Amino acid sequence: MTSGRDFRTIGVVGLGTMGAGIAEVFARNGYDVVGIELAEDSLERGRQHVEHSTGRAVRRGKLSEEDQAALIDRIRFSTTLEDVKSCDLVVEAVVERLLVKQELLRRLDDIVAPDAVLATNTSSLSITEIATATGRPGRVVGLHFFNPAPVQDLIEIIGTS
Amino acid sequence: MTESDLLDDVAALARSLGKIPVVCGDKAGFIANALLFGYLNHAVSMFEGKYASREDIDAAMRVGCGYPMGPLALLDLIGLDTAYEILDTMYKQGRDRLHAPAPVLRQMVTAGLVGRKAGRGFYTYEASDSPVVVADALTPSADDEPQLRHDIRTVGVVGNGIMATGIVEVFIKAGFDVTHVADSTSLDDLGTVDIVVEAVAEDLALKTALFENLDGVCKPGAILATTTSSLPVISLAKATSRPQDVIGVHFFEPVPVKELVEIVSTVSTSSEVAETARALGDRIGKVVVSCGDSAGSVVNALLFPYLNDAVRMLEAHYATADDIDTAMKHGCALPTGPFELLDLVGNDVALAIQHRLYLEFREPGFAPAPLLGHLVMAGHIGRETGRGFRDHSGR
Repeated sequence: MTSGRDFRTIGVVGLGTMGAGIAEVFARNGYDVVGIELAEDSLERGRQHVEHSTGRAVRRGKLSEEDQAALIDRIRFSTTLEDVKSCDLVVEAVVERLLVKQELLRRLDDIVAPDAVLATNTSSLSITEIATATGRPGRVVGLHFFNPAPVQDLIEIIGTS
Repeated sequence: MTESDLLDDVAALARSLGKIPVVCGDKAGFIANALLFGYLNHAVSMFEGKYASREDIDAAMRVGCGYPMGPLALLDLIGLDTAYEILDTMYKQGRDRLHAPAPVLRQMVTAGLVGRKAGRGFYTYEASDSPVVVADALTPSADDEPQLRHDIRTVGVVGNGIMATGIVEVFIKAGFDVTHVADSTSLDDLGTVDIVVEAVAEDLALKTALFENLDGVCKPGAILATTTSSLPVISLAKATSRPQDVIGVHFFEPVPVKELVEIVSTVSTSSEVAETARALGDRIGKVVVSCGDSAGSVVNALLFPYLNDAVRMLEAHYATADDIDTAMKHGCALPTGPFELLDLVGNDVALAIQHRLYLEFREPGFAPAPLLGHLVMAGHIGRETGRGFRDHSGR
């Protein structure tokens, strides 16, 4: 079953509660993460979200301080969307508006490598409709994490039709 | 269309995160939300129709089904605005009336009562983003604590099944004098009891005849209670000359273990009798919820349409039974998945309850899923017969 697609670097666009949680989950499992928020203050809130969330894990004895530091180090926080250029998979977790998500995926389609995968964390929009904004609908998937992402263990994976 | 091996690769990626992946098609709500939000919307409609209080709707599902949260408290956590969006998208895609957001949801969203994040939704919270519920105008006060308006010392129980013996056990444990009549043809011993709880087979003719006879035997003022889970209580009340004293007292099996009791008041039940039944439920250590006399009370009316939706999802080949069970247990923290539960309660029971719900409400979405009927016809009832949605013969 392992066709061997190698995901190493993961982009997460939108670092609200959901996006920050997703970035944390990937970083905690050893992936290099590029976390994007377009405004400095939102980016800072995203970073704080990861710090607070992992800080709670440290206080509960579920994560060592060294591991927490390494985890945060694995996330490169940036306000420049182009920084996801070398990512193998980019997950968007921006506001639930079709046009916003389509515009974002259109831009990501131009930025990432042709074989990179674009994923949306939408919980109510059509993956297929979002994917039509790109030239790679075959490499767009729904990756539906549940809130809070670091705690909830289900992920729904949705293909476009 | 998504490249075929990509879904496997992404599932492997999810597993590398310590997560449990389920794969499904591109339909609004996917698996977990599609099944969850129909149920949540139904609970909102019950609240909106004043069929039961918010506290009782939530307690019924927590205590009756072992859910971690009641549906209205969960909506406050999710956010009513988010819930509205998801339901609205689901409705527009599938045109299932049951997904059309309940009118009160829109009203509450417009009013800014969007849940915990606003400090106010179905409940009122200490502050924005606080999980601590504080009292508001809808909170029952200490004065609402039910009292025994009728003097209840002696209890009669009719029936010879596990339900009847369980009821006898809980009343004896609570210190009541109990007269147990296993055979409903010898009711004369019930002439002096203060309340009779009937737990004979779920058969309208049998129960109607029993109520006619109890009416003749029992002293004036005695309460006549039925444990029916599927028949209208009012049709039994009509068989007596004292419909004001007839009430539904719906226990769950096994009675000594299950804490919930639903008290069903008909249009004729007196408020003193209803209050007495609630107080009596408290005395025997149960969690008591009150509701009106329509099919399924609270728990079954909310539970079975959700199970039926899961069967529809399966028969549409949208996802596998395993993935649907996984999604509901891990995505919604439910104690059992819908197909595990159906095999446990029995597809015949589920079909009968769903049929009654459909006949009463005539909601197209309540019509029993054809697959459920086919399994029953084939004798695939569930664990009881060794096979239901899954094969249990080897276990």
